[in-house]
Amino acid sequence: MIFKATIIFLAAICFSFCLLAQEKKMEREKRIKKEEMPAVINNILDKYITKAKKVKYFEETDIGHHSFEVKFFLHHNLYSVEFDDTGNLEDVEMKLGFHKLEKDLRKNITSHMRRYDQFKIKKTQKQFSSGSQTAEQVIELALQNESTEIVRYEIIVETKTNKSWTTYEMLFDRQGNFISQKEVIGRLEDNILY
Amino acid sequence: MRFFTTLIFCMWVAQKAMAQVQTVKTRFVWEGGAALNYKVTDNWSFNTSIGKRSVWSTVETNADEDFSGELTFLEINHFATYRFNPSLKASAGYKYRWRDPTEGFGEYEHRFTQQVAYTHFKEIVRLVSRLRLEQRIRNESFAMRYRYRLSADLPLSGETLDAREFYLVGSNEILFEAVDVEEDTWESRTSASIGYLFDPNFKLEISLTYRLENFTGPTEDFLFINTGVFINLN
Repeated sequence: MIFKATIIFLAAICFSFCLLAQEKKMEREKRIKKEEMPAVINNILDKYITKAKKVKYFEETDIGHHSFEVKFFLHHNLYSVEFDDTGNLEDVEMKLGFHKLEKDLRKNITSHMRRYDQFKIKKTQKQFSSGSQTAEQVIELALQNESTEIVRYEIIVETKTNKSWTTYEMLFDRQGNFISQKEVIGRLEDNILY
Repeated sequence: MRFFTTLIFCMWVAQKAMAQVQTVKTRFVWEGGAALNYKVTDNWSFNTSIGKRSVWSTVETNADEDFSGELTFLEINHFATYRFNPSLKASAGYKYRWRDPTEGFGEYEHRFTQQVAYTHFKEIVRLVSRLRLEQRIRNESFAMRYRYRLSADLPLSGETLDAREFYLVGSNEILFEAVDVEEDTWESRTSASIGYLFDPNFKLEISLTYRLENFTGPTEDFLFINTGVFINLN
């Protein structure tokens, strides 16, 4: 009896939170199969990833934004290619170590971060996107780490100000000038901390 | 007449005595809990939780078989956590456990906890090392417990854990217990969990934990089913 009552109680909580969650629009990345990608994206990308490893397909939804992303390893680098839902290329991202950036670029980026009491760079990605170039041109250049018309650097950095830590995703241009930033909310730890 | 009355009485007594021969088989132990997490300042956060444990057993007699649960404790926990940086956290906690609450006034247990936890990421897998010290005070004994746990969790869809997605957690813990009235013991706890994030501030988790107690001596093992509700107020 106690067992049944507890199950019903838990099920009721789950159901009410399901309804609550459905009323909100939230950013979401969902793993999908290749066949679920728009054919136009597979047609563009397939010829570049024949030798790629760990190819994974994702669908991303956010408020007013819907896109598709393909992640894979090629030439020992992790790439992420993002398209909008009509198949237009948004950007290609390549993960790399911060120490691999040119000296002047690193200097400009770190000089921006020195406004914080302390900082730790957690992840660096080079972003290639197009101005007037075609999707194929951008992908080809990005996979060879050659510059496209627009090159940016996306840095995940933990910063400390007045004894308080905040994680940001910062965007810099090809010279290392700061463009924008947004706060990154990490996974809650309560379930594995206590 | 007296003979028959005595015979019937003896048969009735014998039947009762036989009926009392019973075998109790513990099937599993269920621990349920609900936790509330809230930030007090940028670096300080509190965690308050309640929990219970019930032992589910099959009682077999020569006449019947009964499956039932017995409540073995109720507890309340409170932790204060200080974040030195996004990777390193230290916590202090207190637990009050009311043992055997269905038997009279039951027995008490106080636990004082100090712990440090270090978090790091390997791609999408989050690894948390936790070193914990506990002072356990019961009616009849005092124990010092030294625990180390390595946990790993990862989202099951994509690289980030978003709302309405499942996640997996695996952990292994080694525990050394020095009790003043008993032999020191070592224990191992291996756990696998699946969780569902309904909302950024609400998740449910169900786990299976295999506990191997006193693995240096005559061992005992138990299977625990844990269910947890986690609510974040920030």
